[in-house]
Amino acid sequence: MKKGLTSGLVLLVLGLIAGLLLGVVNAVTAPIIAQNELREKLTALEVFYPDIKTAYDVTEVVVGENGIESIFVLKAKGTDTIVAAVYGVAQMGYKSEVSMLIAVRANGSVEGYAFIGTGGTEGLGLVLNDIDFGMTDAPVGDETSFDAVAGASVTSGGVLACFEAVAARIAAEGLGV
Amino acid sequence: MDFKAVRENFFKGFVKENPLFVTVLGTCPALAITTKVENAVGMGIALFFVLILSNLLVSLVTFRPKLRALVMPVRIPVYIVLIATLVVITEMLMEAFLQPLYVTLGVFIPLIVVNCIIFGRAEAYASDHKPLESMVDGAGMALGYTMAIILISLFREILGAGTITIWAQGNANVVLDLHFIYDFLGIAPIDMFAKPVGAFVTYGLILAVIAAVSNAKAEKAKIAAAGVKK
Repeated sequence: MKKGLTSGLVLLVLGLIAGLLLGVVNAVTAPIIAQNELREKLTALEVFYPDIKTAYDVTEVVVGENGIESIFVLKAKGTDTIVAAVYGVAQMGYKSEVSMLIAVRANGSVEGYAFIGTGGTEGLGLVLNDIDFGMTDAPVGDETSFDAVAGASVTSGGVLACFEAVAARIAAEGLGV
Repeated sequence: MDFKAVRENFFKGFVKENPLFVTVLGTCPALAITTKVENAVGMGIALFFVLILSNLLVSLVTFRPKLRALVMPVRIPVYIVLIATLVVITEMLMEAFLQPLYVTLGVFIPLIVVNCIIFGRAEAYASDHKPLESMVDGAGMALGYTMAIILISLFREILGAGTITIWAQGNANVVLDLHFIYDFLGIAPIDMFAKPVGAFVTYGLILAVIAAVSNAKAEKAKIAAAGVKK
């Protein structure tokens, strides 16, 4: 009994020291890792804004509601004016989720969009980035501008749902919130 | 401990007790990540850090008789906690400062926790030796392992991709392009060597060469001994 208790105590002390040490290292590395991750995401957003790293102050808002995963809010450098917001959004497509980035200007029109993951079957479903859905420059929730691909396994419904989710979010909370 | 003993202790991991080629330990990462020399260097750095410090810590907690009596009944969990802590620290540091390499090495960094070399040295050496001796042993073994995986990756990268990627992190881009040799010979690099099967073939060939050399040496020694007897 006493032996078992001693062994447990040894492990407990060791665990505490190890935890403390890990906490210290984490405190040093976590901000750097977060910075690296943000830089990587910003590189992905350069598709829409090539000068994103120099001309804008970018903050990431994690949402996790109604398919909106995160919002990157772009403010003009050194100001509080929201210039645009890029929405990371995912909706159910034909076979699985369609994840995409939708960049919306301050006036609510679409700057551009890109697909991260596609929910279509093989063939057209895998080449979503090559398809023009007609939404660039259109108001984000404008279904009449949406050019669905008919008769193919590509998941137009999922793509449209992504635009609708972003439009609903902007209508409810405003741009970038 | 005299200088000769320290030197012997350090260099034994290079050839005589090389963890990869002689004791055949730590083969999973050695086969998986050796597609580029850079990966081998990165893995070597990670293992070097973990092995030296794990040997030191294991030796520290087992060296003093009183502490040893406390630790020995639960030594395996103690080793796991120590090694896992060091590996997680290595992982965090790599993710922060060597991010591309961290992505390339992937799951093989956390898997250092169960690397047989680390456990093997902790149990077979560090738990019975002084801290400094254990560190020297760890350094020698880690360098021996690093040299071994660099050798495999050199072989694989030259034959499989026609390049030698020494270091391509951040702004550094030290890559030797050897395609001119292939162009001169009118052939293309052999894809197979960049794939897992290439790792097995390379490893097998190197082990075969080592076995042939050591057998020849043993044979020579046998003949020499027989000659002396006569």
